[in-house]
Amino acid sequence: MNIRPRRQQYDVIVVGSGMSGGWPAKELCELGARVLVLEAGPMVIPERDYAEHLPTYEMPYRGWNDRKALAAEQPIQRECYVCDEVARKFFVNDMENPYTTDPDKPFRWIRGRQVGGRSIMWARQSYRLGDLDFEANARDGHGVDWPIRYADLAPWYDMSRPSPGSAAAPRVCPRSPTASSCRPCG
Amino acid sequence: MPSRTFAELLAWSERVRESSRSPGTPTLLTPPRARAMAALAEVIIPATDTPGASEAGVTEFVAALVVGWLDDDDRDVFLEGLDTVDPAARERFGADFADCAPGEQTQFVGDLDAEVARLRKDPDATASRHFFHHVKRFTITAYFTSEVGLAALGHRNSFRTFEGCVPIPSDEAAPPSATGAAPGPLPAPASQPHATTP
Repeated sequence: MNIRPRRQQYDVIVVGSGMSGGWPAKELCELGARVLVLEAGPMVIPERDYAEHLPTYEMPYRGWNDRKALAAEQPIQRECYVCDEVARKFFVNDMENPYTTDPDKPFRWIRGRQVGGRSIMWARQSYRLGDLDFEANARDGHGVDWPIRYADLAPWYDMSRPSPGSAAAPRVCPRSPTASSCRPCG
Repeated sequence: MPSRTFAELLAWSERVRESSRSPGTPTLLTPPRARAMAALAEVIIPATDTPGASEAGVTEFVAALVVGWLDDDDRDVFLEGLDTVDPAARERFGADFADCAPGEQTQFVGDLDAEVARLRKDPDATASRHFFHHVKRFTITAYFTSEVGLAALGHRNSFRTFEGCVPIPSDEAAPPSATGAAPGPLPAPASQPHATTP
């Protein structure tokens, strides 16, 4: 294959556009770096591709799942509870993506290939850790004290807050410090 | 040396190949089967002051289950059982089950149900190997996952009116400061943390 070299030079190449790749790519772009993101899957168009929260009667298997297809194509991915008849399109086909592990160390490798990676299949809630979380084991006299406290992380939490589209109550309780609200689905 | 996981994958692909071989019996919910299934379902959950099973999309659901949900053994039990319904009804009442009088249908289904109930009590029998076990289970599941069935239960699908993006009061939308968002005072930690500065 003859690939013509492109003139574009990049400062950074990010492989994978999920939580770990997509976020640094965004930050680096905003800092002015020229960033190339490589992703093995297609763009997800929410209004076309999202099918969450379908009522059961709009699901062919009413939530019971097409078990035969899952067993035949996604025997590993279906171990993830999210990989159901509606969301399984966001998970890889295990037959096309085999991998090996040490026999004594089996590993269920849950994978999604689309822009956004596995963040596409992620939902629900994430809480800031509070000082109670960092201090609990020290108070109980267990293990090694964490080297940081909430105050060390707070600026980073503040910085990251708008990106994943997390909505939050201004404050739940002192033990669970929160960011203030932002738009979900951001 | 392939790992166990890879060997499992090979075994799975072998099973897939196996299952795609042309089966000896037809494996789909054919129109006559669908007609019998729908009629059985309507006897199990008839229209009263709430809609009956005929409005619950039972046959669409069962058609999907036959293709992708039932394993081959259970599928054969289920379909072969459905195939016995019309001949049995003709022998007993002189008509296909769907064409029998309501009283005859109720009697017919009552006998099937009693048969499954008897099998459930028999420690040596497996009631789930009786096709009517599936008929009843599919009917009930289809009904109570259907729009009319959920409505009959008084269920409201809140996601249909879920508003994910709502205006946010400006005081909440302002980015918080680290100190402003920090938790209230807590007792001093057992040991001093090694503070890091981001």
